[in-house]
Amino acid sequence: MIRKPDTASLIVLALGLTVGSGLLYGAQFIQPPIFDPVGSAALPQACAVALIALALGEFLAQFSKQHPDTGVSKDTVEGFDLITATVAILMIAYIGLMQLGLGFEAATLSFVMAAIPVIGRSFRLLAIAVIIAALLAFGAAWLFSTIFFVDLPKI
Amino acid sequence: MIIDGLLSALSLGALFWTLVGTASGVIVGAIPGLGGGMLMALALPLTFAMSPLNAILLLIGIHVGSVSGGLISATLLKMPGTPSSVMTTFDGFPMARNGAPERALGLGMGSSLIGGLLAGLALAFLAPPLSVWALKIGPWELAALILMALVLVAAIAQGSMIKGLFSAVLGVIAALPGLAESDGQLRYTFDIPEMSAGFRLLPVLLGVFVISQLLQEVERTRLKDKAQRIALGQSSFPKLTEWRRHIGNLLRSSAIGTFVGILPGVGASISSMVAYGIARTFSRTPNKFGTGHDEGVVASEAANNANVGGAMIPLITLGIPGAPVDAILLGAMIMHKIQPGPLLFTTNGTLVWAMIAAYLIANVMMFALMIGSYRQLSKIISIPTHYLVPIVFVFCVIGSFSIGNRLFDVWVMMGFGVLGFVLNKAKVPLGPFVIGFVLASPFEAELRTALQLSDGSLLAIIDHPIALSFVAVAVLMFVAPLLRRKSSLESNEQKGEGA
Repeated sequence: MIRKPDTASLIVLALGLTVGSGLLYGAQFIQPPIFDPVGSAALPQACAVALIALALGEFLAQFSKQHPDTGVSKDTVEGFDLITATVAILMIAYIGLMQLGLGFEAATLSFVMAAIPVIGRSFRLLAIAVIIAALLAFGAAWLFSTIFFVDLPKI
Repeated sequence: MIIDGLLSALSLGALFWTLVGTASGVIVGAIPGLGGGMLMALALPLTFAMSPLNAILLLIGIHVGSVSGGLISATLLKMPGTPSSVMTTFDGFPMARNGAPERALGLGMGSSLIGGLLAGLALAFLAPPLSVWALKIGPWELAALILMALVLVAAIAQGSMIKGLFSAVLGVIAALPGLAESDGQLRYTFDIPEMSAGFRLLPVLLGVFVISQLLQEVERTRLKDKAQRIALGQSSFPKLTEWRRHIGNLLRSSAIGTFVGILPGVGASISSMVAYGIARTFSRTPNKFGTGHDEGVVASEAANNANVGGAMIPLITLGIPGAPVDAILLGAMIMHKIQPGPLLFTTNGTLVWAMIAAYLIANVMMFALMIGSYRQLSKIISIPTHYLVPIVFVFCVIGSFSIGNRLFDVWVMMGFGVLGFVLNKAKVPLGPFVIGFVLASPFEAELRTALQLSDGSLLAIIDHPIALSFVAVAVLMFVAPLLRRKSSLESNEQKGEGA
């Protein structure tokens, strides 16, 4: 029977190898120690080696977790949900809008109005979404800037 | 100092913030998917304008309230509001379904109160001598203690130990960019000016704790919609005389919760599991466990609340967080220029005693609030995810932005949120990540100081038996599961050959 690597271990392996090798590469540019025997590159290097070793260890250990007959591991990752991916994109877009210069109120209004119907999987929620979005955008802006003296992103 | 601390905790402002924290903690803890860690991380930026005492008391209130609030959804929905209430679902929900929801809630609330108060007493009596002992330990011991804590966190985290360690190392790595404290060197800043201070604690906490959780909640929405709430008004709270037969279980489970809480990295969920298992072992009716048995609810709830107090002991005396949520409390203390550790009793004794008193007060408040509002709370737990997620996210954005008035921190939060979500998908526990992130800096500083004192020789640890014993425990924690696994594989192979 052919044993396939499970997705969870592949994610761990990919993350471990990428971050670990990146750390080792970056450690070359850290100045050598001046007054202490270890220096600031020691911990990153040790962490990189540990991370790569652990990622490889997990990758190899998965085969013992697999069911002997089916070859399916108990660590199999469920697929990514389309709605979750959309919400993540909306979140990123919300921050991006503010980065592009849109103020907190306008960005929040757009984000909340879009997110509620998407998560609720119904456009009938749009009416309530508009009310919540307006309350949150203008209410939070007033509360934080007037009461808590927190500056929020402005146009 | 003790009197001053008590008076500080009993001042009107302190009581107000403890009450606000406890009430909001109970509400958030009751809502499945929202945890105390999430609320504490969200509340952190709001505490900047508060005095350090009020800020810490607010967070302690949230911590106590959220652990207890989880029992409402665990009992009425069979959905633990917080991970620490998982064991409560085993007996609380069947009891509620069998027509005694008030009885299940009453047992849970009473046990939470007693567990919390007993752990508070342990905190008051154990923390001072432990801090005196901690004063005698040096950099070798502290570095070894942090190493042991990290391995312990990883070993006990849910799932594979390798993934737990992977998560802890990843957390340490996330703390590396920026100015190295020991020699002022810049590391991994990628020529981005904002990176010179590294990743700030709050965006990382909000990302890992809240954003990843929000994304998971979106995924779970369909499951949650199917949950049915059990109606209240069918039974009554247990009578006072009935508690007499639970005294042994209460004392034992509270002691277990406190002790497990003291161990670095072991959260409230583990303590309730251990207490539940032991209660079943000692029970005269073990077969009733899981069917709606009083003893199961009492053990689980007494232990998870006691764990909060137990975990505060290493936090206050050594500056080592007992669980990820305690890492937030530690972060809050540091942000408010309070350095937890052996010297805290000397430098800020009044605050420490106020914290201990507030912990006890928060437990009493939690009990009163839950008794008085459990009917209303049972309605709140059904707030749909599609309203919660966007609202919480907007508050996360405000929180991250407010610490430095820069969108860079908001991007950092989002980045760590996505990372947390992916790690969760890969079944990598997030608790070790947060503890690794918080402990990386003190670990490096202590280790480098120790190595400076010994001219760079790691063998110098031999002259430090306490440090050596911490390292031995860490090695044992790492090796033991591997050996156990090897022997189980061998026995499986032998069985296979025999068949």
